[in-house]
Amino acid sequence: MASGLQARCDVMELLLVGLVSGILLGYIAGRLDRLVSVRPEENSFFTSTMQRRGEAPKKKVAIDETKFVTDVSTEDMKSAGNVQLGTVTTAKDDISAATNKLAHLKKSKGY
Amino acid sequence: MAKGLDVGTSFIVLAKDGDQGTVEYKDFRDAFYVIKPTTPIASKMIEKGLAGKVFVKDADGSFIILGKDAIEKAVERNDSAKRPMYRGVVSAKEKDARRVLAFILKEVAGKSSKKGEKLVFCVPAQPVDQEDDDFDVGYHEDVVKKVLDECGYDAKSINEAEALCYSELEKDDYTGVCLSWGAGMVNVCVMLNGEPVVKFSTTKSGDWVDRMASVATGETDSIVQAEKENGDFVVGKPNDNQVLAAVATYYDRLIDYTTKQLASAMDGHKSLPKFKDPLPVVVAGGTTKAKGFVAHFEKKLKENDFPLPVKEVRHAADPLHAVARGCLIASQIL
Repeated sequence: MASGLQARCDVMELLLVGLVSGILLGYIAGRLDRLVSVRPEENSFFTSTMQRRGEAPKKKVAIDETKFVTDVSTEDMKSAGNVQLGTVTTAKDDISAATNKLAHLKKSKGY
Repeated sequence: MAKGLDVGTSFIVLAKDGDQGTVEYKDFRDAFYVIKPTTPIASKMIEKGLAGKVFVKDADGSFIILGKDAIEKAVERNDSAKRPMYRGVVSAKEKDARRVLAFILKEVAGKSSKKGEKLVFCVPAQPVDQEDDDFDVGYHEDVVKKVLDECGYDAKSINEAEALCYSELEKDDYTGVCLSWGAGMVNVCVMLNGEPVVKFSTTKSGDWVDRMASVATGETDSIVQAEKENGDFVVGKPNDNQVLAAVATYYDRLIDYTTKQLASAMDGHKSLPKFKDPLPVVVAGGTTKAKGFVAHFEKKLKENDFPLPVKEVRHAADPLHAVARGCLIASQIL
């Protein structure tokens, strides 16, 4: 009788230890998945199933983070002193031959 | 009529067709210096002192001196002039940079003669020796384009060294290597029959020489720059003047560094075709105007195993205007 009771207690103890270990293991696995998986959708069950079926995974959507050019106002800068900006020089140079040759080359290459 | 615009770290140069086979250039030194008066009397005195100089009055009452006058004023006050551009792109370091650059561009380019007049300006290539968030060619290009669009132009950009190829390789069937040595960076383009096949840049050039010589001698960058541009020195040779001796030495190091970068970037490059004939190598830009530069560069190219066969190393016909001329040629084709 006593030994039967002892055996039942042992089974209960085993079940309890098993249950606690299961919960702990599940918790740890869950935490690890969150830490390791930066993009959960790539590692998810559904993605790998889709890949097995041969379906292409969805393309990543990127945001354009290049700097936006806001208004470049120079209205509050008033030119003073009435002096022209820049030194002007003139060179004897006919660029038409160079332009024609380059245009011909570009055209022959289909540009 | 179309125009070409070289938007450089040190100079902004506009090129346009003149009368009967001529090209007209307008150069402006890309520099500024701000003087903030403390009292209304000081403001009047400063304004008197600036007579005949290029300056603008800002909304807060400060004076922004522009161009070579800015450098002269900075030297006078034992200070350094500021630049609206740094290493080939609009400077992120100077808070006034964008506004000042926009003002200079509007004044130099002027209003378009008709709406949608074509204008080609140059932009640098991505550097091979710097990975930096501050280096943003796209943003720089957008700023310049926006300013020029406001002036009524249909503005397009091309690479700086590509423009140099268009200007200097006509007799070589537009095949060769061109290097534009500006103040901020060195831009490189390898061209095959008018098609740019490799483009890149390095981030050390004339300003680096000034800064290093300034650190070595204890003088300001502007003083070193003024000595360098007016002084008599030969690249890599000793000099009695301490500033020029430092400049000559750092020139030697800069050429050595750049030729090593060239060899490294081109060696085994996937886009590089197999050239059947040796290539001309053309150099241009303010930095190349130093005595002995071309010969020293040619020597270092050989020493540092430049991977392409070289026919000759030559100076551009007009080193300061060559990029603007190339932009002007491109503006009539693109």
